[in-house]
Amino acid sequence: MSKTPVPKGFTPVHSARFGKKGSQKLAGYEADGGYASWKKVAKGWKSGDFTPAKIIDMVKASGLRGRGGAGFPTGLKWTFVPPKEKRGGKPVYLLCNADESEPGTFKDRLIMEEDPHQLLEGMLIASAALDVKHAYIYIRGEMVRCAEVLNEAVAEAYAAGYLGKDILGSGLDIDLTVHRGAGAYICGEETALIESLEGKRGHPRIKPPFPAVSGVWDCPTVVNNVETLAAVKFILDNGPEWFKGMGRNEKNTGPKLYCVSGHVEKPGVYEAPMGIKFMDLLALCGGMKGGKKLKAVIPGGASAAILTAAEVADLPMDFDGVAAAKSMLGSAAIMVMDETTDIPKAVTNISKFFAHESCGQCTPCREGTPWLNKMLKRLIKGEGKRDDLDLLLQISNQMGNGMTICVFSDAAIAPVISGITKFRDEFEAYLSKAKAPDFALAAPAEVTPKVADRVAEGIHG
Amino acid sequence: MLTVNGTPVAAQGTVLDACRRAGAEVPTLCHDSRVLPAGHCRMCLVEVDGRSVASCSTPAREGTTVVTDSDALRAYRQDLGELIATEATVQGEAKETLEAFGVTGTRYASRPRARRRDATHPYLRVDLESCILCRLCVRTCAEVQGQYVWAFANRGGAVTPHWGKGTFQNSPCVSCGACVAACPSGAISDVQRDASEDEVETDSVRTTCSYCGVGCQLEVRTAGNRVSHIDGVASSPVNRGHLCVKGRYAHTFARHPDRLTAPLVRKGGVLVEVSWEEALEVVSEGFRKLAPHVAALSSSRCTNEENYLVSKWFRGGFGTHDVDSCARVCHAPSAMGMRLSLGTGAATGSFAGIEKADLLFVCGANVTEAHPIVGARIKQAALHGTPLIVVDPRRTELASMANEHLQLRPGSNVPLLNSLAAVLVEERLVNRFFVDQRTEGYDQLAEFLKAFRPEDTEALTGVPAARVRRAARMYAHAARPMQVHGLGMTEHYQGAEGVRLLCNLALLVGAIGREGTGVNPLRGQNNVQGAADMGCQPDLLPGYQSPKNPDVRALFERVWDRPLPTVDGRTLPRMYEAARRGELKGLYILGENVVQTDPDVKSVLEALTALDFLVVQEIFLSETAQLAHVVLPGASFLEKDGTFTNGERRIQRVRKAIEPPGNARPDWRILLDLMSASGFPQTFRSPEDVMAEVAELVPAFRGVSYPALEPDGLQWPVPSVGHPGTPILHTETFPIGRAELACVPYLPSPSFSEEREDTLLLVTGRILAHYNSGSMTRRGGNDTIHPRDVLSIHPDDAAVRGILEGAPVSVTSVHGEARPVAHLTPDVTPGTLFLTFHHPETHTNFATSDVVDRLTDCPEYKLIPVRVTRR
Repeated sequence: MSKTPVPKGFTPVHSARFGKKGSQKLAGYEADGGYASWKKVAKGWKSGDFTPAKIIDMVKASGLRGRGGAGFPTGLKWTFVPPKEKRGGKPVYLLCNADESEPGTFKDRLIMEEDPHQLLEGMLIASAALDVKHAYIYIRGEMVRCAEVLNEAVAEAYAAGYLGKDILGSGLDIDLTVHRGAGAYICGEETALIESLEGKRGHPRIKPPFPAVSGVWDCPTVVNNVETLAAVKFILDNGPEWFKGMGRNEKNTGPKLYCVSGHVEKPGVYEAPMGIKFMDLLALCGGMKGGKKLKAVIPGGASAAILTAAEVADLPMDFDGVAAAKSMLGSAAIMVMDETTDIPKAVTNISKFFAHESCGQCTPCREGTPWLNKMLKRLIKGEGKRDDLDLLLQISNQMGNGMTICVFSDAAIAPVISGITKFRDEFEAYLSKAKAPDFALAAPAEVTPKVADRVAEGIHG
Repeated sequence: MLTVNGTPVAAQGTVLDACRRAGAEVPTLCHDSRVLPAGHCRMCLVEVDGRSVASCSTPAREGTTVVTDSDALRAYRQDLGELIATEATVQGEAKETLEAFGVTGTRYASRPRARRRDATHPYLRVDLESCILCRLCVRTCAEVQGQYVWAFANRGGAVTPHWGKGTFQNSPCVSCGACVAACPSGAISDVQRDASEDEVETDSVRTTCSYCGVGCQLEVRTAGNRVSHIDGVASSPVNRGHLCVKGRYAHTFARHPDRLTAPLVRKGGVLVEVSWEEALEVVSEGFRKLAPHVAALSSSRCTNEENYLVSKWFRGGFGTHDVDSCARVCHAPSAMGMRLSLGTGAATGSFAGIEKADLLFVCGANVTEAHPIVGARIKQAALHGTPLIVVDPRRTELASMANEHLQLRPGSNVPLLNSLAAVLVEERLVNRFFVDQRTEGYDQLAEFLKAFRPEDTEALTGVPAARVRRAARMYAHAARPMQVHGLGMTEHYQGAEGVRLLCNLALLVGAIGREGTGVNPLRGQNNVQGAADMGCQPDLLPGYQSPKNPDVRALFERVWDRPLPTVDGRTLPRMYEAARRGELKGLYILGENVVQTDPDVKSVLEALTALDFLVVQEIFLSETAQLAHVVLPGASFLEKDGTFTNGERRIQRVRKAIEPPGNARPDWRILLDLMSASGFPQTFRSPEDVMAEVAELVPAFRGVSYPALEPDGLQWPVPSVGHPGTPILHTETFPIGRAELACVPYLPSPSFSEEREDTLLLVTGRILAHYNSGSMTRRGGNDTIHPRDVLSIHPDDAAVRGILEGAPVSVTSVHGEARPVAHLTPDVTPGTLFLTFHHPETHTNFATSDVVDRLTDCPEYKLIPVRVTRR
């Protein structure tokens, strides 16, 4: 149905119903075979044809990895929830992370706006598998339309008996609540999301304990991305082997929604098998805008290290492929930059975002992100000092690699370190008239380990 | 085990704990042992097995290798310090921490942003330009005090602590000072400390606070011969470093120019300064001439040793048992009621039970105002989910957090508590095993309570029966329900009997003698427990020993070397009566301002002016001292040694931090001089010697000595030398064998006979910023926080009378008139009023009544029918 081009031989999965008239409505969803898997699960629940273990095994066998950014194997994550006898009577919660705010990412929004029931069905199956009685969708505050569509879908599902008490006679009781955030990027971090859902400031928590053990209201909690939970439905529909059949290898499987933006002819969300080559994806988008030359690509949202044209020339766009190039697939937000792009300005722009969105808890991040932004702004104004680039790298070095409670500051330094390292000449051009630094530390510290080495190791590796 | 820089230490607590145990220095900026680790300043990063982790929030694990210093860590800390220095003009400890890393400036010449400042509060200064955003203010405010004044606003680099709109003084801050004590950067600072910054701190003395029966441990810092500022003692099990607006700040009275600095004798109708010799002579002569028609009112503000000396002096020296203390006007009913029911008239448990209990039952106590540190602990427990039942005619702070608030009509304690017990019996919620094994009188009680079904008492108490039933069930279903009660229980016509009903409840469910349970009166004054322990009550000698017991008599007569009187002594109200009749001629008052604090002041004045000889030992020329024939200048708690006993029976040291002003002297020394001058010389040279005699005479104090009280005091009974003290009473048995369940019929207070159509019921009490007659707390910044007594009145009652917020009103009873200003609040129910008595000009106690507790003569401060009019 979708008019968006797909690779040859690939049948769209998540996006199959996007753009179809009435795609959000339950009737249309059911007409297209929706809730068949959920009915199967519900029917087989009392007889034991479907058990939590069976569903978890299917998800494990499919090789599904989290679509929110980290790429953690979903089935494995689910097994971290303590068994019932070790939970001390506490319930398990399922939270759908719909706080889609990574710059350049807009795939979850389409699922929720165009085909919300695929998410609900996935969540129901996951809830059954995880003994969840109450699931939440934490949705980004700005996405008002999504919340409306979802709430309508939830109401339809309750009315149809897919949600609520003793669902379809299975004995399963599952409730689902859509909760709107208040507009903070950090609430996409799972523990900040949990704090926010509890009604507190969105501050990431110290880990351990991890949410699977102690999450929302100190109860075992599983947090999964929208696309991940939706994928569960398709795994149940078509079997893990089908899912695994798509993708580059055992560890990078299934269909994937790619968000392509920047200097391409037709930016948008493209669905393709996991591991499609970057150049093939670019072709789907109609190639570079105006036929200009490719200069750089941010492959996984603002948090990902910038890759050069050479680095993406033969790059498979999956978790391990992009990681091998010392960046990350992240949320598959691919920002394409042509030869006219001023990298220092692009990096400065990204740094502004991170300075604005830091939660303000950890010193290196709270103080470091505005510092990076101010230094970069000073630089592109032509007022930089001679050793500013080294200083930027030095401070960046002290912000990442587990120096903070969450990975926000690792994300914030990725574009800075990769930008300066890979496009140093462009930054130095701004420094041609640089003045001497106006301050030196009392006892200059040695920088260890060397920044360049660390970049080579891959900051997210 | 794990190793820290090669030193093996046990893997307990966090990595930071392990480092400190190993003696390794780890810098911290956002760490404070009183709050949960937050792990966000990142200063405490160390390497664990080569990985950088925040040591404060990482559990220490077996077999790991911790390194606290390396080139990488040093470089990291220096950069971190530089980042902090970019955004704040750092002061204080944090500045020292940064300088230790060579951070004196920043390579990004960023001007610190102008941030919010505030200088409106009498004790706290806020200058957020120095803030390093460690969030300790936010965390201590939430996790220690539970006040939530501080929060974080904005995000990222713009993040800032915030107290809401308006000035800091107008914030909901309760001035506990926890944030100031925790702030490492100077962003929130202590005005008193700032003022004494130029002076060298000469000393630091640990002592016990004198502002309520909690007994917080203070670290008094002195500069010269004055107090610079006061911190809480973090290691104290009582307050764990926390203090309130009185304990931390209200010490400026000690150097107030109003302090008495020389003895005064009335000559030609005027009090004139005289020498100590003359004053001692006048006093001893005066009492000697009038003995035995003399009496003493000792002070719960003074030490155990001083109270003991007063008791000994009057009983032994003047042959009278007319010795009482202000326990008479507060918790005498608790002592009596609990002694009758359980055998011991003191708290059965410890404050530590608050955190162990799985239900807290607060009855007639406004804990967050009158006992703020226990209040804060109860608040924390409630915030962490411990169910809370509050019985109070007012919606107090705790009542507003309670799962059940039984908002009864004043004077209906007995029917309400009987109804709670009736539900336990009726719904078979009684712990029969405990009742059978350890109590007497159950069958009788069960029968008696049939007349007290909540449905039957509903009209009387104003509490819906369903709520009473719910509360009773909650209390019964808890495994460890703990009671605390206050003067709302005791200061009633049936005060002692009401306390017996609290005992009934605990006994019926077996909630006594275990950790986190019991009946726990919150003693009002700092040493009201001790004053009673030391025999400052007419019917009992030190250690609650009856002079009617021949063995006890023999022991005291031998040790004191004086015959004991055979005539029964009088309680305070009886002393006043005797004075008015001319039967009592001389009265010695130690540190009590009865003209302001005792009820029905007109009759008190009549009694005092009828006396031939009145001696008042005081630190200020109080309203009472102004009537005296002789005024002796005593010392405040900051200026003397001794011990106080707090509400959990913990005997704690009081230590001299500064000298008394002028010729004022420690009270124990004055008492020894007076005893000597009046022909009863003593060999004691110090309070420690006095305590040794107490230990000889009082079985429960046998193991008490000053060395044994180190460091955190001992909870009596301490029956032998080396005994660790007794945190929980009645674990196996009661001193009277089986506890007695009491059948208490409801006898409406005679005060009700004064009720008319237009009267309202007045309840009096304390508020946070002030202490009793206010002679200490009014002489300092606390009076800025709370400058006058206000009458809480329901808006409906106010509307009928045409009274607006802040209007001066007249509160008139059959006894007299009080003159406060009105405060309209729905926290009192229609028909009920609340008024404090901290300011003499309010004349609160002119309106209070002469009705007293049936068993103990404790005045009924909590039930006075009054008319309220505009004035």
